[in-house]
Parts: sequence; structure tokens; C-alpha cells
Amino acid sequence: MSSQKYHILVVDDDDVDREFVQRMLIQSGLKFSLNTATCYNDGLEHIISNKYDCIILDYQLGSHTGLELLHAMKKTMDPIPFPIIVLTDQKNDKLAAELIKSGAKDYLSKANLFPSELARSIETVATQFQLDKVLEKQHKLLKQRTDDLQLKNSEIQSFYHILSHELKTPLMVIREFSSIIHDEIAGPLNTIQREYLDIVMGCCDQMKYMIDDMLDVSRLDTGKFTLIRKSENIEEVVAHAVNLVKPIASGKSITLTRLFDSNLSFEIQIDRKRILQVLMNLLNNAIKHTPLNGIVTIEISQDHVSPYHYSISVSDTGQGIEAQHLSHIFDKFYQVDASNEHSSANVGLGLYLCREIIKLHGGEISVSSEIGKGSKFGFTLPHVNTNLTT
Amino acid sequence: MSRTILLVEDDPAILKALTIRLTANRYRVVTATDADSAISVATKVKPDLIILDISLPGGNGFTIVEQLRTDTKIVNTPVVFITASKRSELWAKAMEIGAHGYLEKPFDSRELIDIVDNLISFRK
Repeated sequence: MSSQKYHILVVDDDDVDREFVQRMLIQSGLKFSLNTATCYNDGLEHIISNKYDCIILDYQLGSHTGLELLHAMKKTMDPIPFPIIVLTDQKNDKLAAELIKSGAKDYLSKANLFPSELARSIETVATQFQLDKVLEKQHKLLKQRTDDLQLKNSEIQSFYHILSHELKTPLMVIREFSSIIHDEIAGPLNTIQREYLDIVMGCCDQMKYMIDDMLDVSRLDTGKFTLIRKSENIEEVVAHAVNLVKPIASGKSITLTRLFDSNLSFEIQIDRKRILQVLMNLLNNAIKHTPLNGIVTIEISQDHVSPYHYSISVSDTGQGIEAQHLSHIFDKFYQVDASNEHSSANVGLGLYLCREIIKLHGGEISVSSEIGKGSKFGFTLPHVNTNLTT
Repeated sequence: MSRTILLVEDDPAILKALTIRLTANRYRVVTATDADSAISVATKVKPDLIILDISLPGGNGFTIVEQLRTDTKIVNTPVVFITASKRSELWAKAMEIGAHGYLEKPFDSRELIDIVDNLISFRK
């Protein structure tokens, strides 16, 4: 038996029946305070003017019915603010259904009413009613928060879109005029001037990649990052990436080695631009962290775990990565060398984007490393015959 | 005989930089900065190639191309789109209406020259 005190209203036009209900309540052991209403109008006035934990409503109210009172309540205060138990003279399933449909929480037969049954009904409907109110409040709060988040998402998306557009235009102007001067279209240059302009253009390119990465991340965060998949030859895509990084590798006399399993068909459904983005990121990182005369190896093979996936990896002979970084290295904004203020501009989004792009393709990315020996970044991609989930 | 390129771009600095680059590569450049003047100039001049920004005052690059395609004298003129946006649906739309090139800003104008040279020499 609950220790809660219930404030109860009994609406019944019959004196004897009202006393009967009061007796049942006393005998039930429930703690309660009681108001009574003797007719339909009295009942409605009580309900509108006061607060109750439960209303016990007789079905017959003179020339009115309890059902009419329920409808009147719904008209003036939908939803009905208190749980209502209707007392009927006899069991009638059709009537019961109608009462429940109209907002009653329970109905009991006067003829078979026991104190314990009355107490149980009051406790149940009152508790359920409170729970429903809490749930409804939480639901409203959740909906509000969802709406706010959706609005914020949309604002972030617009912000990044406008920001990238406004940054890209002057960036292009800086790069273009630097390039025009560099190519001596505006007059002759000496070697040092050309070298300085190379530095300016290199920084412009870095900024372009950073802006593009930020835009990609905002698209991922707002669910607007899409892939355009077509049938491609993964060997050819890797070869393209290798060609693009050859000049930087040559600058450090780094050997680029390709190992391909010739038994593979290499046909694969991918967004070529995005997989190229992943490969360029991994290759550039490998070259950056490999000393002069080192080796960077790109391998394509059948995945050892899944017969439906190819495995592509980029290994280097660099300094390696400390173990504590490996589990975070694909996290957003994570930088292995954040403390080094002289390291080249890096917002820590490249590897995060690699992971998300590979995930969207239905693959996985991983890293292994040994200090002093080098690192290996690898990812899997499903074959063209696999059912893709995205 | 030097070939004529119509360059449609509403940012004055980019318009100037690309004009300098194209002129240095011996192309004759005519320019427009919005959709209406682009259509008017293209119809009058009949350029050998059109470079246009997708986002323009008074319209967009796609509607300009669709309108120009109704003129039989420029229906086959190669079109190269340039854009500051990375939205993949723009690229898809460009391919759908038959673009011959598509560059996202900021791009290296030397890459644009390579594309233009290939397209123009193919038409000779």
C-alpha cells in the first residue's frame, strides 16, 4: 500500500452511493482527502476549479451520464488533467470501451466493489497518470531539442558553405596572380623571386585542402556527404595517386614501390575522387614522415579476413608512431605532433576523413607501427559483387 | 588565327586573372559578368569555347548553357564550368548537360589552359 495521500473527488448524485464509496475508501487503508459533488454541474465545477489525484465518477448522474461529463471535460480541458475511474451498475464491455475511449482510465462495477480493488485501481491509475505526464514532458523536451539541433545543423551547414565560398574566392585570386607573376607573364623574375612565389602558391594549396577538409567534415556531420560510385579499376586509381605524389617523393629521393596481386580482377565500385583523396592523404603522410632515401610501399591484395574485400595499404620506413597515438589517430582534430609549433599546418582532419570515406564505402581503416621501423596504414574495400550497405 | 573564348565570371579579380592567363596563351578573350550579358555576347560573338561560373547574378551557368544550346550556331561550342562549390550534385548536373570540363575553385589556371588547349585543338 502506497504511503501517498490521494486527493479524491467523488461525483455521484445518490447519497447512499456516495457514502458507500467513502466507506470503501476508508476500509481500503489508502491515505486520502475527499471532496464530493452531487450532480453533473457540481462535478464539472469541482473539476475545473480544483486539482485531484483521482476522480471517481458515477456513470448515472440524474439526467446526465458520466460519459457526457467526460466529453464536457475533454471539450474544456483536453487532455483531461486527472485520472478518472467510472463506477457502473453492471459490467458492460461495450460501455467500458466507450468510457476508456472518452478518457476514463478504469471502470469498476459497484455491485462487485471491494476496498482492495478500489485502492488498487486508484493507485494504478494515479501512478500511470503521473508517469504519462513525465513521459510527455520528456517527449516534448526531446522534440524541442531535436528541432533545435536540426536548425543548428542547417545553420552550421550554411555557415561552412558560405565560409568556404568566401575564403576560396580571394584564395584563388592570391594564387592566380602569384602564378601569373611566377610564369613571368607580368615581366621577368629572378630565381629568388620565383622561389618565394612557389612558397606563396604552396601555402595557397595547403589552405585550399584545409578548407576542403573542413567542408567535408561539416557535410559528414550534417549527413550531407554523398558518394558517387562507379565501376573503377583500383590498380589504375592507385597508379594515378602514385603519379601525383612522385614529384614530392623524388624531392626526398624516396622510392615508391607498388605490390599488386596479379590474380585479382581489381574491378571495384568506388567514388574515385574520394578514394583518391584517401590515397593522397596516406601517401603524402608516408612521404612526409619518411627520411631521405626511404621507401614507401603501396600494396593491393585480397583481404585475409574477408573474401569479399580487397586490402590496400601504404607502408613507410619512417620514424614510426608511438603506441599511445594509434587508437586515436583517426579521431577528428587529433594531431600526433600538436606540440610542435613548427610542424606544417594541419588541423587533424585528414585521417578522420579517410576513416569516414572508407566506412561509407563499406570498408575499414587501420594502422600498425613500430618505432624506428615505420608505419603501415591499410584499408579494405568491398568487391564489385558485394551487396553494399550505403 | 587566334581562337575566341567567352569568359563568364562575376568576381572582377578572378575575371582579370583568368583573362591575363588566357591572353598570355594567345587566346582572344571576351567577357561577361552576368547571365543576360553572357547570352547576348555568346550569340553575337559565337566563341570557340565558353568558360563560365555556375553561380552568377541573374541566373546560373546551367540555364545559360541550356538557352545557348537552342542556337544552332553555338549548340556544339565546348563548355567548361568553374565553381566555388564542392556539391557533387552540381558536377552531376554539369555532366548531364554535356560539360566538357569542370573545375572547382581555387584551381590552378594552368590546368584550365591544358583543358582549353585540348578542347580547342580537338575542334580544329
